[in-house]
Amino acid sequence: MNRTGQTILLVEDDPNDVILIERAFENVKIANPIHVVEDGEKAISYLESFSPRGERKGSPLPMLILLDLKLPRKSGLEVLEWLREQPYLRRLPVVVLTSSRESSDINRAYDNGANSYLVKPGSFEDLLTMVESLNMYWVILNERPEIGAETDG
Amino acid sequence: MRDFAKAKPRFFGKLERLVRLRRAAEEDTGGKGAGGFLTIQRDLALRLSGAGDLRDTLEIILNGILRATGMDSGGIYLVDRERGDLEIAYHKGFSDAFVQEISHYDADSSNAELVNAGEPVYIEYERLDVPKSEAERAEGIRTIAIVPIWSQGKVIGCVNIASHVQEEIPQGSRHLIEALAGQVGEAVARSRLEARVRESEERYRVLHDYAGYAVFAFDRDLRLTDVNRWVCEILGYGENELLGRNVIELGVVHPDESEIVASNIQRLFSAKSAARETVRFITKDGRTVIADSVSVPLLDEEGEVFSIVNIAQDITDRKETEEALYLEREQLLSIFDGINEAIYVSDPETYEVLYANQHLKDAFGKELLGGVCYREFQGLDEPCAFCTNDIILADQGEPYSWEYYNPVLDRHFTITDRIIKWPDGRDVRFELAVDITEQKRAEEEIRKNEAKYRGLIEGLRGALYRMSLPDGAYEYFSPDVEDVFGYTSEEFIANPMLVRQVIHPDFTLYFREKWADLLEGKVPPTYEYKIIDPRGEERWIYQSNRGVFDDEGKIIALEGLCTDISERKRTEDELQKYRGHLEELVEERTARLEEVNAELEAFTYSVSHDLRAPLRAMQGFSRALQEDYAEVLDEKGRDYAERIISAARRMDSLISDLLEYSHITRSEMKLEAVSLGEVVKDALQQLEAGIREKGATVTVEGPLPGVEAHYATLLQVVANLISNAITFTAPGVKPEVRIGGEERDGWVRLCVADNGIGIAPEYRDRIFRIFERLHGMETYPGTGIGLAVVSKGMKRMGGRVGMESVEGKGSEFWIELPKGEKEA
Repeated sequence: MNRTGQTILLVEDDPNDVILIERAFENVKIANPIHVVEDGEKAISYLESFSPRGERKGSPLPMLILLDLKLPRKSGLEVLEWLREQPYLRRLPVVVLTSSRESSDINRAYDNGANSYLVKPGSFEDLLTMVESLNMYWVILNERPEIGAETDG
Repeated sequence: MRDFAKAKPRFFGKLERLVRLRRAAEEDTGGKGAGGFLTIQRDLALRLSGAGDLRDTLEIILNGILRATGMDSGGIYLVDRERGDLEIAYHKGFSDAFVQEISHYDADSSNAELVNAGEPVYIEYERLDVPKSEAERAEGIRTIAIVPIWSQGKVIGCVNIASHVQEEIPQGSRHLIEALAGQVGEAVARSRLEARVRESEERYRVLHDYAGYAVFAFDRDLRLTDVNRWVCEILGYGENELLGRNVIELGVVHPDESEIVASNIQRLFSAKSAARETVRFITKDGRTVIADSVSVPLLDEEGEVFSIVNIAQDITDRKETEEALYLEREQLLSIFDGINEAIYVSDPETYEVLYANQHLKDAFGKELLGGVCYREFQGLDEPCAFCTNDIILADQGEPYSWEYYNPVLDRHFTITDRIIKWPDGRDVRFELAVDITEQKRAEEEIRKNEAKYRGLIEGLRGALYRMSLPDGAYEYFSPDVEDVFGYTSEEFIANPMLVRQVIHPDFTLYFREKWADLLEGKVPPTYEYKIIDPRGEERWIYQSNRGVFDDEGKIIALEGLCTDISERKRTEDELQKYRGHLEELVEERTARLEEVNAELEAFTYSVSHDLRAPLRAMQGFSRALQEDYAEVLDEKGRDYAERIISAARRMDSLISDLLEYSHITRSEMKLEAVSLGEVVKDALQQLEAGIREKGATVTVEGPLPGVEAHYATLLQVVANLISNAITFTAPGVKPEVRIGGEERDGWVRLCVADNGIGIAPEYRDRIFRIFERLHGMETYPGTGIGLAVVSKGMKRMGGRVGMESVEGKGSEFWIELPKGEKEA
C-alpha cells in the first residue's frame, strides 16, 4: 500500500505557466515540493511508476495533481479517465487548472472524476490569490483519502 | 202579495165568476124590490154556478122561468153568428112534432125579423084573436112570449115561453121573463168566451206541457209559482220540490249566473218587456244544462207586472256541438300553427288578414292579424298583381296553385289558394304557401354545376368506359379512348385481350392482384398504371373506378374514366428529381456548415487556451520584473513593464468578451420561464465590486415579472447593460442607475437608465455592432463587444432591444421579452 506524501504533481506543458505557478507557490510560501511533467503520457508513466511493478513502488504518491487539459500526446481528460480506472490511484485528488472556460470542458472534466476545476487567471496577482486558496483548501484543510486500500484488501 | 191562484190563468176562477153573478143579481132585484124574484135569481145563480156547459145553463134558466111564471113550455133560440138563422138551443114542454116545426127559422123569416127587431112580443091568442099557424093550432098553444136576448148591444137569440093552458101572460111574468132572458145573454156570452178561453188555454197547455220548453213562472220574490213537466224532467226535481221555492236559493241556477239572473228578473218586473238570455241551470244530480231562456212579464188589469213567465229551451246539446265545433276549429288552427309552412286566411273583399299561422307570424316577426294582406306580406300600398281573388272566387271550391317570389322575405313559394267558408258564413281566401327557396336554389345550383361539369367533361381528355364482370369485356368506351390509349373503342371492344397487351409488363402483376379483389366486389377507387401505345411509347394512365352491383350485391360491371397523365407524371418525375437534387444540395451545405462550425469551435477552443497563455506569461513576467528586479530597472523600465501588463490585461478582456460573444452566437438556447427579478439581482451581485468602486447607486423599481428567456444569456445581457450604465459617466459624476420593469401586451420591458454622458443620435445605430467604440481607451476602457452581446443575445432569445438618449444627460437602454409564467 502506497501512501501520499507532500509532493504536488503539476501536469503543464507551457513552461511560462510552470515558472509562474512555481513562483506563485514560492511567493505564497508553500513548502510542498512540486513535480512537473509536460504532457499526458508523462503524467501517466510517472503515476504508473508507483504501481507494485514500478520503480517508485513503495514511495509516497503525490498528495494532489494539478492538471492542465490541453496537453500534448494525451489530453488532461484522458489522463483523468485513466487515473480513475487505476485501483491504486483512483482516489487521488485532481484539481483541473486550465485556460478554458468552455462548459463542455468543465462538464467533461467533472464527468471524468475531477475534484475541482480552476481557470488560470489572467494576472499574476489573481494567480497568487488562487494559489493561496488552493494551498489552504487542498493542502491544509482537505482530508486525504486512503490510497490503494481496495487492492491491498 | 198576489195570491197563488191568480198566477193561473184567471179565466178558471169559477168562484170569482159566481161572486160577480151574484152581485149583478142583487143589484137587479134591489132595483125592483121583488123578494120572490130575488129568491128565484139567487136560486138560479146557485144552480148556474154548478152548471157545466151552455146547455145546462139554458136548462136551468128555462126551468127557472117556467117555474116562476107558471107557463108550461118554452125554447131558447140562438142566432147563428155566421148565417143569422135562429136555431133552437134548448126547449121544454113542446111535442116532438111541434119542436120539429119550430126548431129552425131562416134569417129572413118573419119570426127572425121579429126577434131581430129587439122588442119583446107577447101573444095571447084567445084574447087578441091572433091567428095561429097550423103548427100552433095543432099544438094547442094559447099564449106565447117572445123575448129577444141581448148581449153586448146585439140580439143573440130569443127566449120563447108558451102556455097550453093560460090565456094571458101577466105583467109580473113578463118582467121576469125579460130579466131572465138578460141572464141568458150573459150566460151565452160567458159560455162562448169560456169556450174560446178553453181553446186558448188548451193551446197554452199543449205548449206548457208538451212542446219541450221548460216554462217557469216567478213572483216578485223569485218564487216559482208554476212549472211545467219539462222543468221537472230537465232539472230532475218533482213539482212539489219546486213550487213556492226561491229559484236562486233552490240552486237550480248555475252559481256563476245566479246573481245576474236574480237581477234580470227583478229588472223585468219594472221594465215590463220581454228579455232573452242564455242561462245555465244545475240539475238535481249536478249536471249543467244550458238553456235559451225567454222571459215575459205578465201584467194584471192595472198594467202591473205580477209574474214573470220564463220559457226556456234546453240547448245543452247545441252548445256542446258549438263547443265541439269551436274545439275542432281550434285544433285545426293549432295544427296549422304547427305546420312549418305559411298558412293564412284573408277576406277577398277587404283584404283583411283573418288568420295567420305561427310560422307566418314568425317569418314576418309581427302579429299580421287584422292587417291588410298586401301591406303585411308584400309592403305594397295596393292589392298585388298576383292576387288570385278573381280566379278563385270565379271557380269556388277549386284550388289555384302558382309559384311566387316574395321580395320582403326573399324566398320562393308554391302557393295554393282556395275559397273556404269562414265561421261567420262569408267566403274567404285560404292560402297555403310552401317555401321552395332551397329547392329553387338547389335547382339553380344544379343548373350552374351542370353547365360547369358539362364544360369540364367536354374539356376533359378522358375516356369513359364500362367493363362487364366477371368476363372483363369492354361494353363501352367513349370516343376519347383513342386520345388516351392510342387505340379506338372498336378495337377494344372487338378484342377483349387487347387491354392485356396494352398494359406495361411492369403492371401485369399489379392487375392480377387487383383483378382478384375486383371479383370479390372490392373496387379500388383508382388505378395508376403504364401502358404501351401503338407506337411503342409508354404512357401513364389514371383510372377512376365505380362498381356496378346487382340486387344481390354481386358486382356486374366496372365504370369509370381513364385519363392520360403522362405529362403530369413527367412533371412529377422532374419535380422528384429536382427535389432529390435539392435535398442533396441541402445536405451538402449542412455538412459544410457543420464542418465550419466545428472548425470555429476548435478555433474558439484554441483561442481560449492558447491565446491566453502568452498573455499570462507577458503579464506574469512583467510583474516578476517589477518585483524581482525593481532596483535594476529605472523609472522608464518600470513604466514599460507596466504597459506590457496593461496591454496584456486588455488583450485578455478582449479575448474574454470575444469568447462570450462567440458563445452567445453559437450555443444552443433553450427558452424557459425566467424571473427577471432574479436575473437583475444576480447581475447586480456579479457587478457588486465595480458598483462599489464607482460609488454608483442602483435603484430597482416596478414589476419584474417572468419572461421567456435563456437564463445565462439574459444574465449576461442585463449585466452588460448595468455595467455600461455605471461606466460611461462624466468625470466626477457618481453613476445613478435606475432599473425598471413594465408589462404591456404580453411583453415585458426592462429599462436600464443612467445619468451618463449619453450618446449622440448619429451613433445610436452603431453602438450595437461588434467592436464599435465611441471613446478612446484612455477615457472609457472597453472592448466594444458588450452591447453587441446584448443585441445578439436578445435576438437569439426572440426579444427586442433599443435605446433612447439625451446627450450629456444620460441614456436609457431597454430590452423586451415575451412574458413568461414565472413571477418575479
